[in-house]
Amino acid sequence: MRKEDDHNKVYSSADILRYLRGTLSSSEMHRLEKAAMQDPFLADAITGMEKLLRAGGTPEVDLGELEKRLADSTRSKRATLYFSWRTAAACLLLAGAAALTYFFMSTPDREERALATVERTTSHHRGNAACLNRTTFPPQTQGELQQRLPVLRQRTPSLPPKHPIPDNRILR
Amino acid sequence: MAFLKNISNPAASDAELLAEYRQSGELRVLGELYQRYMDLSYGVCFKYLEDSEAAKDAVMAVFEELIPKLRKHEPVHFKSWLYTVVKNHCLMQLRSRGKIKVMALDPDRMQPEEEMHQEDIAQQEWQLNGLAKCLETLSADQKMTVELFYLQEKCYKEIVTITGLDWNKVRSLIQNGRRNLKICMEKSVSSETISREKT
Repeated sequence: MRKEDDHNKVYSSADILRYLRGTLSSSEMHRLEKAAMQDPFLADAITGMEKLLRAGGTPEVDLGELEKRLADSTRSKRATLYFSWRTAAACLLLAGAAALTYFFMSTPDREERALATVERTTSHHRGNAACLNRTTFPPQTQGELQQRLPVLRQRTPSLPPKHPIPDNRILR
Repeated sequence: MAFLKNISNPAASDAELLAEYRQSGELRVLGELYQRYMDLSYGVCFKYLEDSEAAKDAVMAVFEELIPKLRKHEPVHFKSWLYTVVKNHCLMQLRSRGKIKVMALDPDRMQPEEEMHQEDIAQQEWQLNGLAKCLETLSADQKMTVELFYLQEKCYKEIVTITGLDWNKVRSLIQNGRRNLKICMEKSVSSETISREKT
């Protein structure tokens, strides 16, 4: 029996079963009976174990199974918790990496890309006025681009103005 | 050093383990605490459910119940609180089977063990002061069995041998005798208090 403190001893199932099977000494039996009078938890447990023995049950086997179930329960839950933390950490890491990649890959000047698109479109469809007419930009964007073309060309030497774009074609 | 955390600490008190679980949320700690009373819980569950499989399932269900409950509640005395939780769970099982009508007791409103301990101390004082007087008020069988149990510290089995009475009869006589003694002593204490106040 485990001693919890001076006033409250914790009796195990082994003590109860030894008591019920009559293998405790008289003084031990007396101590347990006295404890049961003051502790309804113990008194109920003794009554239950007594019923179980009378019904031909196997308390040691049952308690062994319960211990295993409890161990499994605490282990699996801890593992689940551990896994979820790992999963969460991995997700965060991946999300961070993806965000960084997107940031660095997509930051090259949007204006440069817009300019390149315009250049490609105009050179590809040169001479095809009908097609060029369908290249539509919002009026505001077209105006802004037209104003900033010289500056942008200076900043993007890789895109030299081989074929200057007539203003009337872009602004149409 | 993580492996050190998995070594159980049998010296830790219930309150220490409870505080550790509430702080860390580690099921290993709660499992260690619950394991101390798992066999008693199984006995209680079998007493009410009278079926070993149902009793085992109930014991595990109570453990599952404790996981969130103990993060919210902090029982003053874990053992008494757990007893109420286990008993309520089993009684609810019986109610769901339509066997009985029960009303759950609130474990947080249960009498704490410390108060029970105070009662024990008071009982010891009564035993010293007024036991002899009150013993005379009991029936012959009650007086004999109570004397054998409390004063001569005989166990039920020995009392059965000495008196020739049935085991259950002996237990019942002692329990009833104890209750009557308590009532008698409470009366004597209250009358003593009244007489002191008058003087």
